[in-house]
Amino acid sequence: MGKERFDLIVIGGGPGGYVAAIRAAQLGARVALVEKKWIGGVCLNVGCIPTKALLHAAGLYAEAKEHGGRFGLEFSGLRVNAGAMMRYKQEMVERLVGAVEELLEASQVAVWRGAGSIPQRGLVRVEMPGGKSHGLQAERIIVATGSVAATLPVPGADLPGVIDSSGALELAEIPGSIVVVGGGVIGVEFASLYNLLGSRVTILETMPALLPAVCDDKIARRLLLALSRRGIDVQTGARVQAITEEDRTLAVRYGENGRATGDCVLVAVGRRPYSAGLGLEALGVEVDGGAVKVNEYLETGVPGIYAIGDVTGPPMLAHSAMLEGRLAAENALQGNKRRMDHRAVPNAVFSRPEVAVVGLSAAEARRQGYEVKSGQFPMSSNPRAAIIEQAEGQIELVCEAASGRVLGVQIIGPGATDLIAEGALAVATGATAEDIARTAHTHPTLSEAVLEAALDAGGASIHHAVVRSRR
Amino acid sequence: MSEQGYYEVTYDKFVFRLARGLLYSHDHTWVKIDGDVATVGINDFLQRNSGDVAFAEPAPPGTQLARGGDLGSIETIKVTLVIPSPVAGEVVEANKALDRRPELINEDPYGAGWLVKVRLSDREELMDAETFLPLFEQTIEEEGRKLKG
Repeated sequence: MGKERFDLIVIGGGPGGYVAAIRAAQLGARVALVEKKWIGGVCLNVGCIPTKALLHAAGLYAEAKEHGGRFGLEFSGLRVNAGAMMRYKQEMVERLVGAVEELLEASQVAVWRGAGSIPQRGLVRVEMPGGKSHGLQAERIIVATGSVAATLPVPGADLPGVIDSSGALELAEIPGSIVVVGGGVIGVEFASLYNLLGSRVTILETMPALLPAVCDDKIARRLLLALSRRGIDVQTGARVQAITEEDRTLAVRYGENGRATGDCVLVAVGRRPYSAGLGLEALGVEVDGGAVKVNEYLETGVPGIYAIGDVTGPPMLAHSAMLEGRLAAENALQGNKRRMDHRAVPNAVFSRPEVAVVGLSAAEARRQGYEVKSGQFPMSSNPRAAIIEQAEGQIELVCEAASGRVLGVQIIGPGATDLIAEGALAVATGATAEDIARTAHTHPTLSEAVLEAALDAGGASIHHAVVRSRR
Repeated sequence: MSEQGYYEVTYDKFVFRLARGLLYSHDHTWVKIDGDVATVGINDFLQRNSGDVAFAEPAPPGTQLARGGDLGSIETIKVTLVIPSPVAGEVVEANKALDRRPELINEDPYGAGWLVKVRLSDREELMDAETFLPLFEQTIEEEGRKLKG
């Protein structure tokens, strides 16, 4: 096989990999990107982007239906055209994937379409479609092969109508009813999506609370209430036993004698790092349950081989992978100088209402020995939230008591996924509640809720009363 | 709990109820004692005066409550109400039904809308309904006047 030389090779073209490739090219390196299936990875093709496109359309539909009259909007015949909605989603995917391809081309990154592996240090083999293979050489390699959906090990999980998140993006019509197995980020987002579109939705979550790996119990309880009020049947502590087909519907048995039925069953029980077939173990790279082990500079135990994103295990977030991609490219080309710090990486759930968190929850901060002062503000007291008829939710700023330094932010409510950026900046830079409180926040916007929570941390918010006693 | 009967106080078009057979604090909480466990909730005046409950956050099981300590909070469109505990002891149960239906506090304050159960170590001087009734009436009168300006 022919061999071509590069300064750096990235295996995997998802959000971690393509960002690493572009950053490396910006630093003057000759870069190859090896991608087996999708430029943009799961995120752009069957993950973040298409789900948010559908959630946007579904949100507009539900708002028009639920509040249109109140807003003075009159229309007739409002209905969901699933085919057109899927086309809109697909157009978004193609447009954004196309944009990434153009960026790669403009950066002069050589894109190789095929499955990459590392037969020896300094060599990447690309298995091209059709059976040909090609060898690429580089002293530095970044592994960014992502993750795959975990499967549900119960009888009936392979029945027709049992789908994963990719399948849930391809439905030809909106199901009358759907059972979502898994109350994590993906499960809750899809449950919201189909609830907004009018399906009868059941969520089955094994753990005692929703979003077990994401947020604290307080937020999880508010989410449970909000989803229940929207008509979603949320069952927690519900371990799925089996799926059976009964008379054109699917029945999911859970717990002792629970039973939920739906036209389809979405399995969203998490994702597993995807490192199989790379040949990493043979090179001496430590791999634990599929997850590639890296140090704080994102380098594996084998010098010159770096790994980023989902393949390194949790948090499995595109924006974490993007940051890691930049840092890994810089470390690979300029020496290991930049440490990855996950403490200020936010997590976001695009459900209705949205949830977003960064840093420590109050409970976690206390467990770590901090004396905590927390500032809270309900979205029901934010004017913008009232205007858009989404005045439910809360924001909590978790601060170190003595210094006021922001340790974490937890938000549930409209705009949470955008608002968390201010929290992430505060956590990343060590800002205090007072820093936030002294900053004018645009009126009338949802961001004022962050300001008010900071005011509350410092004593009292202006726009919400907390009453301790009626005596 | 409706079978046990209520005292009723009418103000303007509102009827406030005070359940017989429960113990009351000045803070408008009620207590029902069963052996060494006290069930605690808020009374009809306090729930109505606070407005529709959007979210309830009773203190979780395991919380050690001092008398006057935070029994939990309820969030309404108007206010976040932090409720002082009329009893001391360990919270043994928080009302899980409020997770999905916080409006139970409005609909059935003396029954399904209870907040926490506490294993008692100490309690305030609590009043029976008959003793509390004049204070209940007085508060309703005062707050009612305020509302009318």
